Amino acid sequence: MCKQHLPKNVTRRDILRYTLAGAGIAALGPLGRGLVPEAHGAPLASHRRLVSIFGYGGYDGLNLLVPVTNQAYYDRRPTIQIAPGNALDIGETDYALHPAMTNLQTLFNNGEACAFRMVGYPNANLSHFISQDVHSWGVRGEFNPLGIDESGWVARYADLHTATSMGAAAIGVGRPLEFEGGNTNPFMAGSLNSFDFSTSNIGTTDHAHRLNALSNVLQSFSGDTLTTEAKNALDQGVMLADQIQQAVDDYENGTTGSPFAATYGNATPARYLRDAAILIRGGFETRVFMTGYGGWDTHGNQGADTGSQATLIGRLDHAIGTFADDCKDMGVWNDMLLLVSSEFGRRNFENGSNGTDHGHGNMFFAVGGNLTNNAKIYGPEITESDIADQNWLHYELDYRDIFREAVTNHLGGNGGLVFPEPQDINTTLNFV
Amino acid sequence: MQEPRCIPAEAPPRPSLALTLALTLVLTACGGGGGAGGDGGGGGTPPTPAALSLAPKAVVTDADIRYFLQRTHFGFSQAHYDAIQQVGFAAYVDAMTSFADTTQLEADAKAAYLVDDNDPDGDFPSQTDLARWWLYMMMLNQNPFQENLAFHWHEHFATATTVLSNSNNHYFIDHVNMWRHGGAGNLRTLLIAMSRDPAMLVWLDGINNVDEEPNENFGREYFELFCLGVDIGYTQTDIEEAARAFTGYRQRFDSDTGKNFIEFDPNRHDHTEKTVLGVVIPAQTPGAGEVDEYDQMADIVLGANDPVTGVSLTGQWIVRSLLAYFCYANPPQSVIDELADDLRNANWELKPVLMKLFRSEAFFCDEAKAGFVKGPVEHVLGFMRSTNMVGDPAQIDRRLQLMGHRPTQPPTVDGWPGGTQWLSAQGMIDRANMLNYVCEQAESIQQTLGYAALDLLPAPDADSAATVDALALRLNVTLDAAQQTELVTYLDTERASNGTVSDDPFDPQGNAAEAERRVRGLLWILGQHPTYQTR
Repeated sequence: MCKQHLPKNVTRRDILRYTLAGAGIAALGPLGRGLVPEAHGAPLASHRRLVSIFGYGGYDGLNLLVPVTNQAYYDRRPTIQIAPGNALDIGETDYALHPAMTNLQTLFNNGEACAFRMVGYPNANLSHFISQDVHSWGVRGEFNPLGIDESGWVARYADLHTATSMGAAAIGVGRPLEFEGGNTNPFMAGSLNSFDFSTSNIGTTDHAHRLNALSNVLQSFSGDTLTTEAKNALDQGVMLADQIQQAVDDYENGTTGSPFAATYGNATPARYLRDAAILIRGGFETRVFMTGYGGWDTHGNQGADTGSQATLIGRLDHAIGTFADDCKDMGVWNDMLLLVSSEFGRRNFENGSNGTDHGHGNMFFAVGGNLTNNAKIYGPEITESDIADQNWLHYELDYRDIFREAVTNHLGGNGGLVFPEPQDINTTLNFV
Repeated sequence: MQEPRCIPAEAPPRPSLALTLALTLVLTACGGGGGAGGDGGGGGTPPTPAALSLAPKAVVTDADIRYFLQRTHFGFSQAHYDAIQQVGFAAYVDAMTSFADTTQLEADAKAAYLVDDNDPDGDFPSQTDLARWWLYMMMLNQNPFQENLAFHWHEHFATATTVLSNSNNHYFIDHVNMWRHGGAGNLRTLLIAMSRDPAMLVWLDGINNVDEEPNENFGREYFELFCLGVDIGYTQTDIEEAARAFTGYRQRFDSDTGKNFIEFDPNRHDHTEKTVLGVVIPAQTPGAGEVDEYDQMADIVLGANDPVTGVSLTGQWIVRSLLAYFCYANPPQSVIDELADDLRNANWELKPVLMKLFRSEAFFCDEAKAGFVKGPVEHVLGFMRSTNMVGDPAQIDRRLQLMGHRPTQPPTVDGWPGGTQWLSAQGMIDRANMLNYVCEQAESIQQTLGYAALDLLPAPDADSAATVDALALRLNVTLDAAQQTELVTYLDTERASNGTVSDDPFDPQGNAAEAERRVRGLLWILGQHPTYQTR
């Protein structure tokens, strides 16, 4: 990967020249409130952070948090069940973890992880794409009656609570719907290593020349909504590439480098959490990190203790375990909360291809150094009837109660404004 | 693993000329020329558009042609622009929607990407090979619309190689060619072919869908994404019934060839009665005389109408998808309904609908021109078509993969996240780096083919202002006076390594290498311009 930086003395001046020129705030998407994001070179202290890891495709929560004493679960899943003796003990009589969740087992037993049962949203829709949208918006119905514009919940959080575009970061998930709307142009990277302009075959001098001309063109640009969004995105790239590359270098090589830099590996979501750690260690002010990975739509050959879903679970477990170690090393673990969620759970029963079709109610997870430990598992018990008599778990815990508490209790934000829609089911969890 | 393969030496030395000639041949072969309403020239003030009328646009202006190429050919291309001027717009649209034989292109692409010493028949392509094989055809097809339309169907019926492996990657050759060859053909034929396509059967678990415990994956998406739209006219029960109709195909392995293949096994098909969208598929006896329920499923969705308006629901869904790709971000209902009716009246032939659309007032109206965000594929292919620059498909593919827009690998069955979801800082940096490859790193390949960016100048002695204007027009980039001045300054200055910028007027007839370097830098800048990110 090309890691050549622009000459700092030139670039910084160029950047300041065009970013601080007297354009109106509306034109200054990436600058939000007029503040340029800044890397402080070390983790910000007493700075609460939330990492949301989304399982695209609908993970089979019944095989992550296994109801090990529920006979209906075993009756309806003859091939893909997790045997009680193979599930990992977390000190709960009726529930245990998938065998690939060894790091999470330790975190549960340390009081650094908890789970949520029967999570969903009203008026279940079995489409991936509708369900993902609901989770991204944080709104099930219409926006109009709420008096807010169509927007993702992270965009609403960022508008309320973050000062610069680095306040919220999406890593490895493109421009997720969670970030749509709002005025802060949150940061979005595929991988931090590639967040850099290539100067191959042109050289840094000529590249600086063309980039400077481009910056000057952007400075005078005003266009319609779409082209303005394109301009804002490019502005952000030009403004942040150097700082990001500095943070990557420091993380990998510098004296403040992480001892875990090589532990994450290249699989997702581990490498996305590594990038989150780079931003934290680089001293960026990011509050909300949004990431995720796919492959969970296990209609066929899902596997059980091993197999395709076990591999996906193992990747999640390794990523979270490594990130927890890294955060503890950085001294930010007590300010950290991770939420693991997915658009829906799957059927209670396996289909003819040893997989599971779409369902609804699911298990979510929270991990971090700031949990209340009021319980290891929140939400209603899963009864025999819930599995035997229904095609899928119904929802009895609105997912927004989890995220709202994360925003209010953990981040110190206004969760009521971020998730303003009245709910049919309201639960106070006090999990964080 | 082989070294990255470049454009073969026999590729046309001057793509623009070769394309012009070849396309002229194509048009002649198709009997093009002299069609009605084909005023390709500019001139005259266009009448106030009856915005949503599907009547042919009376006067097609120069700007209209540029817009048309942008929307249908990945980008402006001088060769195709000239061809339209030559044969007339209506005849061109007719010819463009009748796909000529592409055997030679496919053979070249196969030789370049699917075949090697260990696999002389190209039976065991890697997934990387497959992506590059199609990109090669997208870059070089003399009828870019054929590839663009195929790419639209690939997006609509999104299927990815990622579920295949060495013994069945070859399914995807036929899968892509299904969209390439039949893209402007018959919709019913396409729906049936798609539902039995081997790659699709693997992708959405059709090969695992057996009579006793149906797998709903394909049945659900058949309604939700492919034919009707989410929650339009169907229920969960319809999905379950459809899943039972779509049973019976299995995948087998041929140990002689080392390849997988697909076959229909009547013993795995559910022969009991089903009711889908209110239509009964009667129970039947397995064996000879068995009615194909995949055909029946296509007829059932094609027969489903809006209970109030009577318009075909599948017609609406397919037309909406075409409009949302080629024209409107939010297609107007009246246009959808009229074209959906046309599609049904044409016995589901797509060509007349496409021709009507691309010639219509509605296609050229302001609402249609309001703008789309280009995806990375269109961004780079359009740039290459507009500048006549070529590059190594392997290098293009590597970067498209990084950007999450590799043809053959949509992330989900819903296709790629489109529109503004492409507009991230990372996405813009990736686009800049893609064009750095095309403008700078691929220069040596282009030089081998005798290409010079200086040939794009409006005159050999064009000055900096004329050059900026001509290249901006070519890329459909809109510059205001201040931006134009900045770019003229760029061409007329030189930067030293210490950051000092000094005057050094652009002189294409002086030091050619220096002028070439600046023009390439200018093209890179224009490719980052916000108006180049939209179409």
